[in-house]
Amino acid sequence: MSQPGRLARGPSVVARRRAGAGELLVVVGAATVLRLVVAGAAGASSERGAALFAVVLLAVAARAGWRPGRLRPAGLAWGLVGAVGLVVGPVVLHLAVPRQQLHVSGHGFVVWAVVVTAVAVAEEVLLRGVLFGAVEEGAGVTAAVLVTTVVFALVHVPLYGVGALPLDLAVGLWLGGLRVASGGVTAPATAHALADLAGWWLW
Amino acid sequence: MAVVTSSRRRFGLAAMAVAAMLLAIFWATRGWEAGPPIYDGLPLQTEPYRYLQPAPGQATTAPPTSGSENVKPSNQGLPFIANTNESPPQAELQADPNAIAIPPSVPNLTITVTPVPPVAPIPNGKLDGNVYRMAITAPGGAPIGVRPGGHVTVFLRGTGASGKTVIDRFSAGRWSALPTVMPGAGFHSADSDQLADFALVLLPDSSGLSGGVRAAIAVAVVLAVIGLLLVAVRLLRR
Amino acid sequence: MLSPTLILAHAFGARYDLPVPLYLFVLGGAAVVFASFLLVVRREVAPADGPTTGDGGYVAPHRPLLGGLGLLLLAFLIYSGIHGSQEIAENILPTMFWLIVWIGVPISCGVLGDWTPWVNPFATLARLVDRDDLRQRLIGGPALSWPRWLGFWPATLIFFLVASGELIYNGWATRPIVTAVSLVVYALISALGGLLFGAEVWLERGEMFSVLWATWGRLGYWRFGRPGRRRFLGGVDQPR
Repeated sequence: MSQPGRLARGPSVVARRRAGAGELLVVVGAATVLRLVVAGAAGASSERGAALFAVVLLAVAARAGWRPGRLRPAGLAWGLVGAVGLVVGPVVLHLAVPRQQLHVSGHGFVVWAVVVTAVAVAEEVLLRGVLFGAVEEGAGVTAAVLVTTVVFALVHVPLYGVGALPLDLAVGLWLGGLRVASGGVTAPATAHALADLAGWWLW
Repeated sequence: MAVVTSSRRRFGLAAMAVAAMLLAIFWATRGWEAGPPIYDGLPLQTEPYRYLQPAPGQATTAPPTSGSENVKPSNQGLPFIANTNESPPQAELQADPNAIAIPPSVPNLTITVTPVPPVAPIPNGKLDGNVYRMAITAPGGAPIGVRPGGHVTVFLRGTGASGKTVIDRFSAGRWSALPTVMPGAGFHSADSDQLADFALVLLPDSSGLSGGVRAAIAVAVVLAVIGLLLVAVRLLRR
Repeated sequence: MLSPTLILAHAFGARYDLPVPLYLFVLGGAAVVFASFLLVVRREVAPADGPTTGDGGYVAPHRPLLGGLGLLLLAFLIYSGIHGSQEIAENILPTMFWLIVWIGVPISCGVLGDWTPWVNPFATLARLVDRDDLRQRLIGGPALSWPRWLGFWPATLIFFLVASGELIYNGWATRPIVTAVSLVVYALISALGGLLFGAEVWLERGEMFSVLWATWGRLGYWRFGRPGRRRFLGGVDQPR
């Protein structure tokens, strides 16, 4: 049923994985620490830290057997639906509740957008691709959704504080559901990246 | 797209439904505090402190903001809250409506938090950030004070400078220190029985030792104790 | 005293008015403590003349890479605590230790099982100094035996001290430099324990994080090499 190396096919990742779930968790934690170290005082907004984080995650995913495959329209369509679900709340708030926006300058948008997309895709490939597959193989799909949701939320805590935890748990569950319903990581990766990019206009 | 069985799709959609419910609750209750959906790569960290009067050599930032809230005297029993608009705010005032001496005829109040230059030099240390004037006024601009026995709570964010800090209040023509706590997230807070000018003050280091030196001394003491313990074990074994 | 509207940190000193009368709060707290004892009241314990080990942490095989990562992280956090901003919110150490290590890791162990023995830097330190030649030079003989009366009391006492730091003295204990120096001191204590008693006994009985996370890990799904079944609560009825 599965073919190795397809972005849209989670189980194929499992077939070639070389890392266990425990090792992946440790590596994700180490990558997060590395991002914090490189980011320094800039924290979450450090493009250098974020880019390195994305590269490390993708390298680990590649080491674990993941290979990019051909994008499927159905995965992208699921991803669009997922992105709409993630941005509908902030869009409503944006229209209904006037507030001072902090993000004002358009300078550097291109670099920012590339880095944000890379981080989103890398997180999805490793968490809802490789880690999801590894956990699912050992403990089933429910455990895979739960574990990846919790890890996704925890990865964001050092960067955005514990206040982000409830929101990221909900977002992680949304992306996990998208992963299961669509059958691959294309959908959550698309949704994650689009929702992050939308933040430029919404925050 | 890989083959997805109907049971898996149902399971995935159910997870998405639960997540959507949680997100809706979160956005409805937290509003903009929830931020954008996932946060990655956005400047949501504590923004650099905005100085009203940057010292020479200090990085230029946007000017600090003021905060203002119009409230009904009862405020439905909720605390009066006004804060500045930085992320996170640099100053915030909170008050129990019952702690404020509101004249009966006043239909609404304006709570303001405004950065101002210090009206007098601060005697007990170095200003850590801006001085903030906190006030509650009636519609005509008449100041409203704190009821006898009541208090308001002042929150000031520090600049991140290392050292012991305290909130000072300027009243009766002089600065005086208030009992100050650090509730977290870089905030300092103090209760005050007056509305006035408030400043976060970096106290001089009384020991004269840097944090690193003090840490080294503490570790050296522990090492010495461990050394003595090892010697004692060795002697007892003879 | 009120709390600022944007602060969401755990036990960092924010104060709240109790939403219920004090007596109800105290009675509720007491009831929770009492109920927690009911969970273990029927649990069999090792007889007094039984083996001295078997109910504590799990001394996992040493993995230098993971152990080294743990030590590097510890060193980075200590460096940050000493040389970084002393504002709690702006220094990574208080968040990493008091939220992630102290709260997040136990909960993760309660869900996943105890995944920590390979990366716990205090365990790694204890293992590194667990050498007969070093002991011979420093204390003139082999490892000391663990006195029976000592039981789990070292780990218990250290847990009590850290919990006091979190809940009672948090205004002081969560300051980055205080947390950093405490970590250095505890690292030295753990190394001393590994040297005096040997890593195996020390990690089973004395090293607080090993004992704490192993205990939480009994609830978790995976056993990570310990006896027990792979399911939630799979380690509760196991000797270790």
